[in-house]
Amino acid sequence: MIRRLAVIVCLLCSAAAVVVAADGDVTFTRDGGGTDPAPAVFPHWSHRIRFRCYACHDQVFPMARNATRVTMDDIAAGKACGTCHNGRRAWAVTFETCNRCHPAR
Amino acid sequence: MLRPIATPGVIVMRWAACTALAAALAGCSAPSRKKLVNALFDGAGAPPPTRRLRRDLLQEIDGLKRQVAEQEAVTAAASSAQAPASEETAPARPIEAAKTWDEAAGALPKSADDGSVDWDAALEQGVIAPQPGVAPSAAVQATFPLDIEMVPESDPTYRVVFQHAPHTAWLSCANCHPAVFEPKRGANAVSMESIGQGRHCGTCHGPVAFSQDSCVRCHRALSEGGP
Repeated sequence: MIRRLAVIVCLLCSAAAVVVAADGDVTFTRDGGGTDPAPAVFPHWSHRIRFRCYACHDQVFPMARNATRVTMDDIAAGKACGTCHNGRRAWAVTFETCNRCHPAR
Repeated sequence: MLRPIATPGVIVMRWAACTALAAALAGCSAPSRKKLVNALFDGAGAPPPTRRLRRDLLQEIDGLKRQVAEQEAVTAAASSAQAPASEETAPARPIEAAKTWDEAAGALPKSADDGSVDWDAALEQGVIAPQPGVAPSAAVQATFPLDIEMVPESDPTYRVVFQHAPHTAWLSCANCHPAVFEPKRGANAVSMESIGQGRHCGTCHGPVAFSQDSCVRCHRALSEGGP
């Protein structure tokens, strides 16, 4: 319910990313408000058990809320999530792994 | 005669003394040799290094450089061994096998104050071993021990001691300074209002670090029964 509410709140925002959950999940919104596939959810906790904040901030992602814009092209080019999600440092972003970020509904 | 003629015995004694001194100088490390030479020559400033001293010092520097290089190689090997190259490699900590937040949260230590996840304790107890950088060779930064006490004029019971040490285990200086906090005493008007607006401490506390409802985790005096 909270997640659904958060998604609705996100859809109303024009910003690229909004922090929604207490555990630090970030649900992205898509330019134009599309929801298919579902906008990506970044699980902060999963990264926090493996990395210190300064591993990614501010070199890979700025700290400021709503300041992060990510495209699949960025990821393929080794930027943003693609810095690690490249099949070497962490699992690769492929058509086999879509729903790890874009949750299936 | 102004100078007595040296007898063979005296000559032998002098040679023995010189040899013993030379052996002592050659046998000890460069710093103590320097001290010894200074003591013998009445400490009148360090004598200019002899060719031999210079050679020994250079050798010592080379040795230290080699040690540093070896240590760096060991550290780099250790961090690349920890790096999760793929899902096939075993996780560095059991918690890294968690698939959901509930699963992970179950394995993380909790604060005695409010039962929420205590990330600092998780780090201290080694439940998690978060890496310091994207590059496997990245180094953990040193923590910064400065405490800053903030006492509100209205009621000192609500004083807060901000500890840099646990924060710098996670964050670099540039993560907070100067965008979130001016690095200057008295330059930041921190209030519960500003925190509630997502500024100052509220930049992280609430969205990603422990909640703003965990009063006593900052306002320690509230749980200790007075200032």
